[in-house]
Amino acid sequence: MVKNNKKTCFSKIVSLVGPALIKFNQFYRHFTKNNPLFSAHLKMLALFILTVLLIFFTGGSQSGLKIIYLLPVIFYSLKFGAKWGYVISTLSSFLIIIYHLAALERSALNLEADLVLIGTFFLFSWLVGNIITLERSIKSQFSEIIIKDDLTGLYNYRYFQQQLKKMLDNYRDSESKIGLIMIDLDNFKLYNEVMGSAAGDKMLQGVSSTIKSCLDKEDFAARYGGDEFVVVATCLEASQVINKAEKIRKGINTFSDDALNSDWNLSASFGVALFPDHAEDQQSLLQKADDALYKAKITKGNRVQLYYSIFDRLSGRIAYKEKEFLSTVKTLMFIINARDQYTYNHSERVLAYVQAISRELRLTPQELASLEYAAFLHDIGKIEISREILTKPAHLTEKERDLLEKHPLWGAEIIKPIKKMEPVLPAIIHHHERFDGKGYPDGLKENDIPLGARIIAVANAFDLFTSELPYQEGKSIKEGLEFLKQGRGTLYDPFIVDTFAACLSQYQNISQLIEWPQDLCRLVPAGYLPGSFVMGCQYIDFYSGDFHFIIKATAYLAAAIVNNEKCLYFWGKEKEEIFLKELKKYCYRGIQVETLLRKNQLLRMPEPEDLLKLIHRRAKLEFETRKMLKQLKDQAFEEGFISLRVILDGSSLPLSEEELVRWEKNLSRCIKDLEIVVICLYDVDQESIGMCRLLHSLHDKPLLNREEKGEEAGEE
Amino acid sequence: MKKPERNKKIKELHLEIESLKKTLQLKMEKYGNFCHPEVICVSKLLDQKILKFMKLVNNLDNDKH
Repeated sequence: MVKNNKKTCFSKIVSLVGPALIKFNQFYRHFTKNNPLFSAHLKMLALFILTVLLIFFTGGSQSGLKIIYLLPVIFYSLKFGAKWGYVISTLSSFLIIIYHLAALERSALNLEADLVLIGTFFLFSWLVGNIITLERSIKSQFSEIIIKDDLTGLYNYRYFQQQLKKMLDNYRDSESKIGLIMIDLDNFKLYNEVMGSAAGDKMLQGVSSTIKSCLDKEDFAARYGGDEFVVVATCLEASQVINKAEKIRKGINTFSDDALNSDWNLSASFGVALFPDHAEDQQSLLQKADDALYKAKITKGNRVQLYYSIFDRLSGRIAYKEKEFLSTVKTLMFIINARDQYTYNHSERVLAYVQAISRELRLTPQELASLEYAAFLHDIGKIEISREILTKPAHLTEKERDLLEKHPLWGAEIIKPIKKMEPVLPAIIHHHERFDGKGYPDGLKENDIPLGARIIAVANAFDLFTSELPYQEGKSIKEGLEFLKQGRGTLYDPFIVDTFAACLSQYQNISQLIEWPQDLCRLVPAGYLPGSFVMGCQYIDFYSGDFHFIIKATAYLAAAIVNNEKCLYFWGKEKEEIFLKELKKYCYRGIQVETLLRKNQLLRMPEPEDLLKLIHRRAKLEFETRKMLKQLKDQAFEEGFISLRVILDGSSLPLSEEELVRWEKNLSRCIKDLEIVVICLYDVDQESIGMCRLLHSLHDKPLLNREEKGEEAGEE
Repeated sequence: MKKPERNKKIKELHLEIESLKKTLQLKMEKYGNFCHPEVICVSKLLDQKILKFMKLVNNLDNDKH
C-alpha cells in the first residue's frame, strides 16, 4: 500500500512538474531566441557565478584559483566591450577584497597578490575590450564598403542580387508581391560627354538621393550599372509599384529642374515587373523588368512601363507541348523586332487589334486561335529581308519593293513544315491582298481573300499608319480611322473597317488598347448588348422590380454567351426559373442564343460565400478570393471560353449598407487584372436611399480609378 | 437646381418609374417575351429614369452633408 502511495505521489509530482518544466523550457527558448543579448548576458552571468562558487569552495581568500576570475572578465570584454569588462572586473575585485577582509588569517603577501590580480583584471578589460571595439568598427566599415556603392551610397549590384534572391524565397508563398523597378536615365551618356564626368557623377548622386526619398521602409534601391538603378518594393497590387515608379520619375524630373545648372531636361525610363505575376524566378523577373524598360526607352522614354506581353496571354491558353513551339516563334519575332526598332512590337499590336475585331465578329474559338497565330506571325517572312530595306526612310526602288512583297510567301515557307499551323497559312500569305484585287501575291479580290487575311490587312495598315516610323510621326486613333476609311472598299474590306471603327471608338488613344489591357474595363461601360469589350470590369447596375431584373440579367447573360464567356450567376430560385425560360427566347442578330450555349457555360453559384468574405478588408481574404476567381477563370480558359462573367443580384446578398459598399470596393481591388467581369444588380425599390446614394457614387466613377488615386484612403 | 425643385423632380421621377414598371409588366403580359423590342425599349427607358433618380438622390444627399 505504502509503495503504491509513493508511486502515485511520485507520478503526481512528475505529472505536475514535467509539463511545467517543459513549458518553462519552451518559454526560455522562445524568450532567448527573441532576445539574443539577454541570452548572452545570462550565459556570462552563469559563468561568473560558477567562478565565484568555485573560488568560494576552494578556500575563498586562500584559494589558489583566484586567477580564474580573469575568465569572466575576458569573456565579458570580448563579448560586450571594455565597459562591461570594467563592470565584471570591479565585481571580481570587490569579491576578492571581501574575501580578504573576511579571512581569519590576513597577510601582507596575500594583499599584495590580490592587488596585482585586481590590476590585471582592469588591464585585461581595457586591452581586450578596446581591441574588440576596434575590430568591430573596422568590420562594419568594410561591410558597408562591400555592400554599398561609393558614388551614390545606394546598395551595389552584388548586394542587390543576394537580397533579391532572399526576398523571392521569403515571398514565394506569401500573398504579397515583389515589384522590381528598373530605372535607366535617358541620354545620360550624352550628358556625361557634354557636361563632363564630374557633372555626371553629381547627377547620379542627385538621382540616387531622389530615389531614396521616394522609398518606403521595406523597399530598397541599388545601383545596377552605370546609369541604371533598381528598386525592389513589396506590394499587394501592381498599381502600388507603378505609383511608386511614377513618384520617382516625377522626382527625377523636378530634381533636374532645380539642381542642374543647365537647360538639360533630365528624365528616366522605368520598367516594372512583378513577382510572381510576371516571373517565377530571379533571372526571369530581371529579364521581364528589362523588357519593360526597353519598351519604355524605345517609345521616347521618360515613362513607366509595366511588363506586358500579349505573347504571355497566348501561351497561357495553349497546351504545354505547343508552348515550346511558340517560344521558338517568339525568338524569331524578337529577331525581327531587333532588326527594325521603329516597328517594335508591331506584331503584338496587330495581334491586339485582331483580337478586338474578332470579338466584334464573334469568331469561334478555333478561328480566333488560328487568327491570333497568323496575326502574331504575319511578318515572319521579313527575316529574309535586309535591315537596310526594312528601315529605309525614303521610298523603295522597284527592285526593293519586289523583294519586300515576297515576305508573305517566305513567311508561309517558314511555317509550312509545322502541320498544326496549316490553317494559319492563308491569312499570312494573303494579308497584303487588296479588296479591289490589286494586291499581292495573288491579286485576290473581295470575298476570295480569306477572312483572316482581310482582318490582318486592316489591323496591319492601322498600326503602320499610327506607329512612329523613320519617315513619319505617330498618329492618333482618329487619324488612323480616317486613313482606313479612305481605303474602305478599295484597299480594305468595308465591313471589317466599320467593325474596327466601332470597336476603336471606345478608346481615346492607342496605348489604352495596347499597353494597359486591364484598363479597357475602365473605359467601356458594361452595356448589356453583346460585343462590349469589358474584360476585367466590375460594374454596378440598378433595376426596379422583378420584371426589370429578369430583362437585364437575361441580356447580360445573353451577351456573355454570344461573347463566348463562361457565366456564373446568383439570385433567388424563383427568378432563376423565369430567367432560364426567357433566355431560350433571346436572339442576337437572328441567331437563337440558346443554340450558342455550350456545355458548362451557364452555372449557378452555389452560395457566393467566398466572395462575401471580402467585406473584411484583409489581405489574406483578398488573396484567397482572388485565387478562387483565378482558378475559375483558368478553368473557363481550359474549357475554351474567352473569359469569366459573374452576375449577382446585389439585393439578395445578405449584407448591410456599409458592408455592401465596402464589399464592392474590396471586390474591385480583388478582381483587378484578372480579366473577368463581375456585375452586381441592385433593386432601387428595396434599398434605402442612403445605400442608393453610396452605390450611385460608386457607379458614377469607375472603382479602380478611384482607388488608384487614393481617394478612398482612410475608409477602412 | 434648387432644393424644392429637386425634391419635386425626384417625386416626379419616382412616379414615372412606378408607371414604367406597370407598363413593363403590361408589355410583358402582351408579348410574353422578355426580349421583345418594345419590352427592351421600356426597360431602357426605365434604366434612364432610375439613373436620373439615383443621381438626384445622390446630389440631394450630398447637399445635406
